[in-house]
Amino acid sequence: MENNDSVNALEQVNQAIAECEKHLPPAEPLYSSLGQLARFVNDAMREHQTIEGRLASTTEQLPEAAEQLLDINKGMEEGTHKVMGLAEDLLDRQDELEKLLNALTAERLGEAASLIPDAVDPARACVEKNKEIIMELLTSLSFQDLMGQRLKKIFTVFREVESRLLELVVEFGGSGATTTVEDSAAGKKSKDVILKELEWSKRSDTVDQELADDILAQFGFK
Amino acid sequence: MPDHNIRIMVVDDFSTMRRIVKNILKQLGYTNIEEAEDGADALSKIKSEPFDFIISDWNMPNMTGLDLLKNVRADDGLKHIPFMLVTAEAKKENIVDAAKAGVNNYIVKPFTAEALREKMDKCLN
Repeated sequence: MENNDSVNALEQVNQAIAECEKHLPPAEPLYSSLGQLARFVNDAMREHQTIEGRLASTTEQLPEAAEQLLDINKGMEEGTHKVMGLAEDLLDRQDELEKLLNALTAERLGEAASLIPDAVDPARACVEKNKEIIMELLTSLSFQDLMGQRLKKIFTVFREVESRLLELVVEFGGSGATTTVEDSAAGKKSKDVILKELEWSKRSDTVDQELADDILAQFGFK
Repeated sequence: MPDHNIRIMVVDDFSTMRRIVKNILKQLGYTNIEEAEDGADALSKIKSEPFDFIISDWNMPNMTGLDLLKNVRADDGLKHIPFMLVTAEAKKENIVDAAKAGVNNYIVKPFTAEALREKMDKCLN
């Protein structure tokens, strides 16, 4: 509560100066300037107290927000695996169906062999198309990887900001600021580098496969 | 016609992405597939068991795909293994770095099964 004591003391000084001013000639410049200075310091101390409170509050909330991000990432991963499992089951069934259709040869069908072009061939084509769609469904789930990577980068930035805020709280003192500064989760990467990567991940200036192929071609790739 | 019995190492820190690549490879007829969750894990496995092809993500903890590629190319016993980077890191400088490090091909996420087949065929033929 050192800060409160300081503010109280400054308020007393302020009041004393104001009291003095009452008994001095109105144009006395020294006391007037001292009064302004005291009020400025007083206001600054109050402002600092407010900021310090917000800082401590933000520092407490950041780990929770970071954990929420991790939970979202985990939930997305679990959901994606669930859909993948179902898609894989469908693929297996399509494979089975394809085998059954392929077993319907002219020799085995005998007199019904004429059914093959009309019924079996379209069924085969349908199975093939189903497999294509299921594969497209599976590859579309790569959104989880792309979004997950961005979430991980945001998480790393959160950790970095948390670390910096803790440093500020420890350095300038704050209620209950007994926490030691953790090593940043970013570790080897600076916040700036991570933020830059996050910008990249928006893909605004990234290249597509065609352009990647062009660049590789310059290195002699076919 | 590529040999479908080759042993393939799929490296990605996201289990969902490994599963996607494995499924595509399975549909393409490749069934001998192993997984690793980062470059360090992959390098350890590649050094202890023989592999014929490596498909790796770029951005991974512990060891990136590019560092894995450099390690593979620097090892006399491994440098012959075809190496494909499958990654969202699609900046021009990334592709140039990968080409300089000796990548065989580079595929940008998100990709299709057809794109992976085409790139694999180019690497293996």
